[in-house]
Amino acid sequence: MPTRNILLSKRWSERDRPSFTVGIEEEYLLIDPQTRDLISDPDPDMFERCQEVLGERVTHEILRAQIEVSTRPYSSIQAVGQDLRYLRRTVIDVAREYGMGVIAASTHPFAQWWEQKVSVGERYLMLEGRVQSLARRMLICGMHVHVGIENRDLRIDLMGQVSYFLAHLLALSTSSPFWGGKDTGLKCYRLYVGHGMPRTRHPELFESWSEYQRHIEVLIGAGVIQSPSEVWWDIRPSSNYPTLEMRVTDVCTKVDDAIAVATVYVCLLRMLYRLRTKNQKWRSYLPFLFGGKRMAGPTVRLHRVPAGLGEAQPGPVF
Amino acid sequence: MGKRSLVPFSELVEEMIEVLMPEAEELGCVNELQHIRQIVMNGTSAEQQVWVFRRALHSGATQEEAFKQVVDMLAHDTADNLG
Repeated sequence: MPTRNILLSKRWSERDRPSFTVGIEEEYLLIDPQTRDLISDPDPDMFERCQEVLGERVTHEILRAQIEVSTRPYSSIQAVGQDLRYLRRTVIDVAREYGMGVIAASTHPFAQWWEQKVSVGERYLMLEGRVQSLARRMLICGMHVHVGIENRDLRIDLMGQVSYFLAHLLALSTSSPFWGGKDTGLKCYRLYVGHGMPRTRHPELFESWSEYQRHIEVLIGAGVIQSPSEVWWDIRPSSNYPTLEMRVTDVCTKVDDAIAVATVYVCLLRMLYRLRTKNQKWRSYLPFLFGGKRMAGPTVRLHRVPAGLGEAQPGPVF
Repeated sequence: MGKRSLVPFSELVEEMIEVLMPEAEELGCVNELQHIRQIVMNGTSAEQQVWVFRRALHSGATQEEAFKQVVDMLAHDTADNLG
Protein backbone atom coordinates (compact mmCIF):
# COMPACT_ATOMS: atom_id res chain seq x y z
CA MET A 1 0.00 0.00 0.00
CA PRO A 2 1.33 3.42 -0.88
CA THR A 3 0.60 4.82 2.56
CA ARG A 4 2.86 2.22 4.10
CA ASN A 5 5.71 3.14 1.77
CA ILE A 6 5.27 6.81 2.39
CA LEU A 7 5.28 6.36 6.14
CA LEU A 8 8.20 3.97 6.21
CA SER A 9 10.30 6.28 4.10
CA LYS A 10 9.47 9.29 6.23
CA ARG A 11 12.47 10.60 8.07
CA TRP A 12 11.60 12.16 11.37
CA SER A 13 13.37 15.41 11.93
CA GLU A 14 14.34 17.19 15.14
CA ARG A 15 11.20 19.28 14.65
CA ASP A 16 9.09 16.17 15.27
CA ARG A 17 10.95 15.23 18.43
CA PRO A 18 8.37 14.36 21.09
CA SER A 19 8.42 16.11 24.45
CA PHE A 20 8.16 12.70 26.21
CA THR A 21 6.35 14.31 29.13
CA VAL A 22 4.95 11.76 31.55
CA GLY A 23 1.61 11.82 33.38
CA ILE A 24 0.17 9.02 35.52
CA GLU A 25 -3.44 8.20 36.36
CA GLU A 26 -4.29 5.74 39.13
CA GLU A 27 -7.59 4.31 40.32
CA TYR A 28 -8.07 3.25 43.94
CA LEU A 29 -10.70 1.39 45.97
CA LEU A 30 -12.33 2.76 49.12
CA ILE A 31 -12.63 0.24 51.92
CA ASP A 32 -14.20 -0.04 55.36
CA PRO A 33 -11.25 -0.44 57.78
CA GLN A 34 -13.34 -2.69 60.05
CA THR A 35 -14.91 -5.15 57.60
CA ARG A 36 -12.23 -4.58 54.92
CA ASP A 37 -15.03 -4.76 52.35
CA LEU A 38 -15.61 -2.06 49.74
CA ILE A 39 -17.70 0.96 50.65
CA SER A 40 -20.31 0.72 47.91
CA ASP A 41 -21.87 4.10 48.65
CA PRO A 42 -19.28 6.39 50.28
CA ASP A 43 -20.16 9.73 51.85
CA PRO A 44 -20.09 12.22 48.91
CA ASP A 45 -18.49 14.79 51.23
CA MET A 46 -15.30 12.75 51.13
CA PHE A 47 -15.00 13.20 47.37
CA GLU A 48 -15.87 16.88 47.61
CA ARG A 49 -13.18 17.37 50.24
CA CYS A 50 -10.64 15.67 47.93
CA GLN A 51 -11.71 18.01 45.14
CA GLU A 52 -11.29 21.06 47.37
CA VAL A 53 -7.63 20.10 47.77
CA LEU A 54 -6.86 18.54 44.38
CA GLY A 55 -9.35 20.21 42.02
CA GLU A 56 -9.86 18.38 38.75
CA ARG A 57 -6.99 16.04 39.46
CA VAL A 58 -9.35 13.78 41.37
CA THR A 59 -12.37 12.28 39.61
CA HIS A 60 -15.06 9.64 39.99
CA GLU A 61 -14.80 6.33 38.22
CA ILE A 62 -17.57 4.03 37.00
CA LEU A 63 -18.35 2.72 40.49
CA ARG A 64 -18.78 4.77 43.65
CA ALA A 65 -16.26 2.66 45.56
CA GLN A 66 -13.57 3.90 43.16
CA ILE A 67 -11.62 7.15 43.04
CA GLU A 68 -9.20 8.29 40.36
CA VAL A 69 -6.26 10.69 40.51
CA SER A 70 -4.16 12.21 37.72
CA THR A 71 -0.76 13.82 37.97
CA ARG A 72 0.17 16.78 35.86
CA PRO A 73 2.51 16.09 32.92
CA TYR A 74 6.22 16.35 33.77
CA SER A 75 9.42 16.02 31.83
CA SER A 76 11.17 14.35 34.76
CA ILE A 77 10.32 10.99 36.29
CA GLN A 78 11.21 12.26 39.77
CA ALA A 79 8.72 15.11 39.43
CA VAL A 80 5.87 12.88 38.29
CA GLY A 81 6.73 10.46 41.10
CA GLN A 82 6.61 13.25 43.66
CA ASP A 83 3.23 14.38 42.36
CA LEU A 84 1.85 10.83 42.46
CA ARG A 85 3.01 10.45 46.06
CA TYR A 86 1.29 13.71 46.96
CA LEU A 87 -1.97 12.59 45.31
CA ARG A 88 -1.95 9.23 47.09
CA ARG A 89 -1.12 10.85 50.43
CA THR A 90 -3.93 13.39 50.05
CA VAL A 91 -6.59 10.83 49.14
CA ILE A 92 -5.51 8.53 51.99
CA ASP A 93 -5.52 11.39 54.53
CA VAL A 94 -8.96 12.66 53.47
CA ALA A 95 -10.38 9.13 53.40
CA ARG A 96 -9.12 8.56 56.95
CA GLU A 97 -10.98 11.70 58.11
CA TYR A 98 -14.17 10.04 56.85
CA GLY A 99 -13.37 6.67 58.39
CA MET A 100 -12.36 5.01 55.13
CA GLY A 101 -9.28 3.19 53.91
CA VAL A 102 -7.70 3.24 50.45
CA ILE A 103 -6.13 0.37 48.55
CA ALA A 104 -4.31 0.47 45.23
CA ALA A 105 -5.25 -2.93 43.77
CA SER A 106 -6.87 -3.78 40.48
CA THR A 107 -9.46 -6.03 42.10
CA HIS A 108 -10.74 -6.23 45.66
CA PRO A 109 -9.98 -9.69 47.09
CA PHE A 110 -13.51 -10.59 48.13
CA ALA A 111 -16.02 -7.82 47.29
CA GLN A 112 -18.93 -8.75 45.01
CA TRP A 113 -19.50 -6.62 41.91
CA TRP A 114 -23.30 -6.87 42.02
CA GLU A 115 -23.35 -5.14 45.39
CA GLN A 116 -21.69 -2.03 43.90
CA LYS A 117 -23.35 1.19 42.84
CA VAL A 118 -22.66 3.10 39.63
CA SER A 119 -21.40 6.67 40.07
CA VAL A 120 -23.79 9.56 39.64
CA GLY A 121 -23.14 11.47 36.43
CA GLU A 122 -24.33 11.59 32.87
CA ARG A 123 -21.39 9.66 31.46
CA TYR A 124 -21.77 6.77 33.88
CA LEU A 125 -25.53 6.57 33.52
CA MET A 126 -25.06 6.59 29.76
CA LEU A 127 -22.46 3.83 30.05
CA GLU A 128 -24.71 1.77 32.27
CA GLY A 129 -27.59 2.29 29.85
CA ARG A 130 -25.50 1.33 26.86
CA VAL A 131 -23.59 -1.66 28.13
CA GLN A 132 -25.92 -2.56 30.99
CA SER A 133 -24.49 -4.98 33.49
CA LEU A 134 -21.09 -4.92 31.80
CA ALA A 135 -20.49 -1.48 33.30
CA ARG A 136 -21.59 -2.57 36.77
CA ARG A 137 -19.21 -5.49 36.59
CA MET A 138 -16.25 -3.14 36.01
CA LEU A 139 -15.03 -3.45 39.58
CA ILE A 140 -11.49 -3.08 38.34
CA CYS A 141 -8.83 -0.42 38.68
CA GLY A 142 -5.93 0.37 36.40
CA MET A 143 -2.96 2.61 35.97
CA HIS A 144 -2.71 4.69 32.81
CA VAL A 145 0.53 6.37 31.74
CA HIS A 146 0.47 9.24 29.25
CA VAL A 147 3.61 10.13 27.31
CA GLY A 148 3.66 13.27 25.18
CA ILE A 149 4.17 12.55 21.48
CA GLU A 150 3.02 15.67 19.70
CA ASN A 151 3.33 14.54 16.07
CA ARG A 152 0.16 12.58 15.36
CA ASP A 153 1.58 10.23 12.72
CA LEU A 154 4.52 9.46 14.98
CA ARG A 155 2.06 8.77 17.84
CA ILE A 156 0.28 6.16 15.70
CA ASP A 157 3.56 4.68 14.49
CA LEU A 158 4.96 4.32 18.02
CA MET A 159 1.66 2.91 19.29
CA GLY A 160 2.00 0.02 16.88
CA GLN A 161 5.62 -0.62 17.78
CA VAL A 162 5.44 -0.30 21.54
CA SER A 163 2.41 -2.59 21.73
CA TYR A 164 4.83 -5.52 21.53
CA PHE A 165 5.93 -4.56 25.06
CA LEU A 166 2.49 -4.33 26.65
CA ALA A 167 2.92 -7.83 28.07
CA HIS A 168 6.20 -6.80 29.73
CA LEU A 169 4.57 -3.76 31.30
CA LEU A 170 1.62 -5.78 32.52
CA ALA A 171 3.86 -8.42 34.07
CA LEU A 172 5.58 -5.75 36.20
CA SER A 173 2.31 -4.41 37.55
CA THR A 174 -0.03 -7.31 38.35
CA SER A 175 -2.28 -6.75 41.38
CA SER A 176 -5.52 -8.66 40.71
CA PRO A 177 -5.17 -12.34 41.65
CA PHE A 178 -8.51 -12.55 43.50
CA TRP A 179 -12.05 -11.97 42.23
CA GLY A 180 -15.17 -12.14 44.36
CA GLY A 181 -13.51 -14.18 47.11
CA LYS A 182 -11.85 -16.69 44.79
CA ASP A 183 -8.18 -17.25 43.99
CA THR A 184 -8.28 -17.01 40.19
CA GLY A 185 -4.90 -18.69 39.76
CA LEU A 186 -3.89 -15.66 37.66
CA LYS A 187 -1.86 -12.63 38.60
CA CYS A 188 -3.99 -10.27 36.57
CA TYR A 189 -7.66 -11.14 36.45
CA ARG A 190 -8.60 -7.53 35.70
CA LEU A 191 -8.03 -7.80 31.97
CA TYR A 192 -10.45 -10.71 31.72
CA VAL A 193 -13.15 -8.64 33.40
CA GLY A 194 -12.37 -5.58 31.28
CA HIS A 195 -12.51 -7.55 28.07
CA GLY A 196 -16.23 -7.94 28.59
CA MET A 197 -16.46 -4.41 27.23
CA PRO A 198 -16.33 -3.71 23.50
CA ARG A 199 -13.28 -2.09 21.82
CA THR A 200 -10.82 -3.38 24.41
CA ARG A 201 -7.66 -5.56 24.16
CA HIS A 202 -4.74 -5.09 21.81
CA PRO A 203 -4.96 -1.95 19.66
CA GLU A 204 -5.72 -2.13 15.98
CA LEU A 205 -2.71 -1.18 13.91
CA PHE A 206 -2.92 1.84 11.64
CA GLU A 207 -0.59 3.23 9.02
CA SER A 208 -1.23 6.86 9.85
CA TRP A 209 -3.19 9.25 12.02
CA SER A 210 -5.63 9.93 9.18
CA GLU A 211 -6.39 6.21 8.85
CA TYR A 212 -7.06 6.00 12.59
CA GLN A 213 -9.17 9.14 12.46
CA ARG A 214 -11.25 7.80 9.55
CA HIS A 215 -12.13 4.69 11.54
CA ILE A 216 -13.10 6.71 14.61
CA GLU A 217 -15.28 8.95 12.44
CA VAL A 218 -17.08 5.91 11.02
CA LEU A 219 -17.91 4.68 14.53
CA ILE A 220 -19.06 8.12 15.64
CA GLY A 221 -21.05 8.66 12.44
CA ALA A 222 -22.80 5.33 12.90
CA GLY A 223 -23.68 6.24 16.48
CA VAL A 224 -21.66 3.35 17.94
CA ILE A 225 -19.56 5.67 20.08
CA GLN A 226 -19.81 9.33 20.95
CA SER A 227 -16.11 10.08 21.26
CA PRO A 228 -12.71 8.37 20.89
CA SER A 229 -12.66 8.03 24.70
CA GLU A 230 -14.99 5.04 24.27
CA VAL A 231 -12.22 3.07 22.63
CA TRP A 232 -10.59 1.18 25.49
CA TRP A 233 -7.64 -0.57 23.89
CA ASP A 234 -4.64 -1.52 26.06
CA ILE A 235 -2.91 1.45 24.48
CA ARG A 236 -4.51 4.32 22.55
CA PRO A 237 -3.98 7.87 21.42
CA SER A 238 -5.46 9.97 24.21
CA SER A 239 -8.70 11.69 23.27
CA ASN A 240 -7.83 14.72 25.41
CA TYR A 241 -4.09 15.23 25.19
CA PRO A 242 -1.32 14.89 22.56
CA THR A 243 -0.19 11.73 24.31
CA LEU A 244 0.03 7.98 23.84
CA GLU A 245 -1.92 6.49 26.71
CA MET A 246 -0.78 3.09 27.99
CA ARG A 247 -3.65 1.39 29.83
CA VAL A 248 -2.75 -2.29 29.98
CA THR A 249 -1.27 -2.19 33.47
CA ASP A 250 -2.85 -3.09 36.77
CA VAL A 251 -2.58 -0.35 39.38
CA CYS A 252 0.59 -1.02 41.40
CA THR A 253 0.07 -1.28 45.13
CA LYS A 254 3.48 0.24 45.88
CA VAL A 255 4.10 3.70 44.49
CA ASP A 256 7.74 2.89 43.68
CA ASP A 257 6.57 0.03 41.44
CA ALA A 258 4.20 2.39 39.62
CA ILE A 259 6.97 4.89 39.00
CA ALA A 260 9.26 2.11 37.71
CA VAL A 261 6.60 0.92 35.25
CA ALA A 262 6.10 4.48 33.98
CA THR A 263 9.87 4.75 33.60
CA VAL A 264 10.03 1.61 31.47
CA TYR A 265 7.22 2.89 29.26
CA VAL A 266 8.79 6.29 28.57
CA CYS A 267 12.22 4.72 28.03
CA LEU A 268 10.73 2.26 25.52
CA LEU A 269 9.13 5.11 23.57
CA ARG A 270 12.38 7.09 23.57
CA MET A 271 14.28 4.06 22.35
CA LEU A 272 11.77 3.39 19.57
CA TYR A 273 11.82 7.04 18.56
CA ARG A 274 15.60 7.03 18.44
CA LEU A 275 15.52 3.98 16.16
CA ARG A 276 12.87 5.66 14.04
CA THR A 277 15.13 8.65 13.41
CA LYS A 278 17.58 6.14 11.94
CA ASN A 279 14.74 4.78 9.83
CA GLN A 280 14.63 1.57 11.86
CA LYS A 281 11.57 -0.03 13.37
CA TRP A 282 10.92 -2.62 16.02
CA ARG A 283 9.89 -5.66 14.09
CA SER A 284 6.19 -6.29 14.37
CA TYR A 285 4.56 -9.61 15.20
CA LEU A 286 1.05 -10.86 15.32
CA PRO A 287 -0.28 -10.36 18.85
CA PHE A 288 -1.08 -14.01 19.34
CA LEU A 289 2.64 -14.83 19.19
CA PHE A 290 3.56 -12.77 22.20
CA GLY A 291 0.09 -12.81 23.78
CA GLY A 292 -0.23 -10.27 26.55
CA LYS A 293 -2.49 -12.59 28.47
CA ARG A 294 0.34 -15.02 29.03
CA MET A 295 1.74 -12.47 31.47
CA ALA A 296 -1.51 -12.52 33.35
CA GLY A 297 -1.15 -16.24 33.87
CA PRO A 298 0.21 -18.22 36.76
CA THR A 299 3.73 -18.67 35.40
CA VAL A 300 5.91 -15.65 34.83
CA ARG A 301 7.23 -16.59 31.45
CA LEU A 302 7.04 -14.93 28.11
CA HIS A 303 7.48 -15.96 24.55
CA ARG A 304 10.85 -14.75 23.51
CA VAL A 305 9.96 -14.04 19.96
CA PRO A 306 12.42 -12.62 17.48
CA ALA A 307 12.38 -8.89 17.93
CA GLY A 308 15.14 -7.68 15.68
CA LEU A 309 15.41 -4.20 14.32
CA GLY A 310 15.07 -5.33 10.74
CA GLU A 311 17.14 -7.66 8.68
CA ALA A 312 20.08 -5.34 8.21
CA GLN A 313 20.84 -4.69 11.81
CA PRO A 314 19.66 -7.27 14.30
CA GLY A 315 19.31 -5.60 17.62
CA PRO A 316 18.92 -6.59 21.22
CA VAL A 317 16.22 -9.13 21.78
CA PHE A 318 13.78 -9.03 24.65
CA MET B 1 15.80 -14.57 15.12
CA GLY B 2 15.07 -14.96 18.82
CA LYS B 3 14.95 -18.03 20.97
CA ARG B 4 11.38 -18.92 19.99
CA SER B 5 10.86 -20.26 23.45
CA LEU B 6 9.65 -19.20 26.86
CA VAL B 7 12.24 -17.60 29.10
CA PRO B 8 12.02 -16.62 32.77
CA PHE B 9 10.80 -13.09 33.28
CA SER B 10 13.83 -12.29 35.43
CA GLU B 11 16.00 -12.76 32.33
CA LEU B 12 13.79 -10.46 30.29
CA VAL B 13 13.99 -7.84 33.00
CA GLU B 14 17.80 -7.87 32.92
CA GLU B 15 17.66 -7.41 29.15
CA MET B 16 15.14 -4.59 29.48
CA ILE B 17 17.41 -2.80 31.93
CA GLU B 18 20.39 -3.20 29.62
CA VAL B 19 18.58 -2.05 26.48
CA LEU B 20 16.83 0.88 28.14
CA MET B 21 19.79 2.08 30.21
CA PRO B 22 20.95 4.71 27.65
CA GLU B 23 17.48 6.26 27.71
CA ALA B 24 17.31 6.17 31.51
CA GLU B 25 20.74 7.80 31.77
CA GLU B 26 19.63 10.63 29.50
CA LEU B 27 16.37 11.02 31.38
CA GLY B 28 18.09 10.83 34.76
CA CYS B 29 16.01 7.91 36.02
CA VAL B 30 18.49 5.03 36.30
CA ASN B 31 17.37 4.13 39.83
CA GLU B 32 13.72 4.09 38.80
CA LEU B 33 14.51 1.79 35.88
CA GLN B 34 16.58 -0.55 38.04
CA HIS B 35 13.70 -0.80 40.48
CA ILE B 36 12.05 -3.33 38.13
CA ARG B 37 14.70 -5.77 39.40
CA GLN B 38 13.20 -5.31 42.89
CA ILE B 39 9.73 -6.03 41.53
CA VAL B 40 10.94 -9.38 40.24
CA MET B 41 12.82 -10.16 43.48
CA ASN B 42 10.03 -9.12 45.86
CA GLY B 43 7.15 -10.20 43.64
CA THR B 44 4.40 -8.02 42.25
CA SER B 45 1.44 -7.09 44.41
CA ALA B 46 -0.46 -10.08 42.98
CA GLU B 47 2.26 -12.49 44.07
CA GLN B 48 2.48 -10.91 47.51
CA GLN B 49 -1.30 -11.08 47.95
CA VAL B 50 -1.32 -14.79 47.16
CA TRP B 51 1.60 -15.39 49.54
CA VAL B 52 -0.15 -13.56 52.39
CA PHE B 53 -3.40 -15.43 51.70
CA ARG B 54 -1.83 -18.89 51.57
CA ARG B 55 0.40 -18.26 54.58
CA ALA B 56 -2.63 -17.20 56.60
CA LEU B 57 -4.59 -20.30 55.59
CA HIS B 58 -1.57 -22.45 56.37
CA SER B 59 -1.42 -20.92 59.86
CA GLY B 60 -5.00 -21.97 60.48
CA ALA B 61 -6.84 -18.76 59.55
CA THR B 62 -10.29 -19.01 58.01
CA GLN B 63 -10.67 -17.83 54.43
CA GLU B 64 -12.39 -14.68 55.68
CA GLU B 65 -9.51 -13.92 58.06
CA ALA B 66 -6.98 -14.63 55.33
CA PHE B 67 -8.68 -12.15 52.97
CA LYS B 68 -8.67 -9.54 55.73
CA GLN B 69 -4.93 -9.98 56.07
CA VAL B 70 -4.57 -9.44 52.32
CA VAL B 71 -6.57 -6.20 52.48
CA ASP B 72 -4.48 -5.02 55.45
CA MET B 73 -1.31 -5.67 53.48
CA LEU B 74 -2.74 -3.76 50.51
CA ALA B 75 -3.71 -0.76 52.65
CA HIS B 76 -0.27 -0.75 54.27
CA ASP B 77 1.65 -0.97 51.00
CA THR B 78 -0.56 1.62 49.26
CA ALA B 79 0.47 4.15 51.90
CA ASP B 80 4.11 3.09 52.02
CA ASN B 81 6.95 5.44 51.06
CA LEU B 82 4.77 8.41 50.17
CA GLY B 83 7.31 10.83 51.67
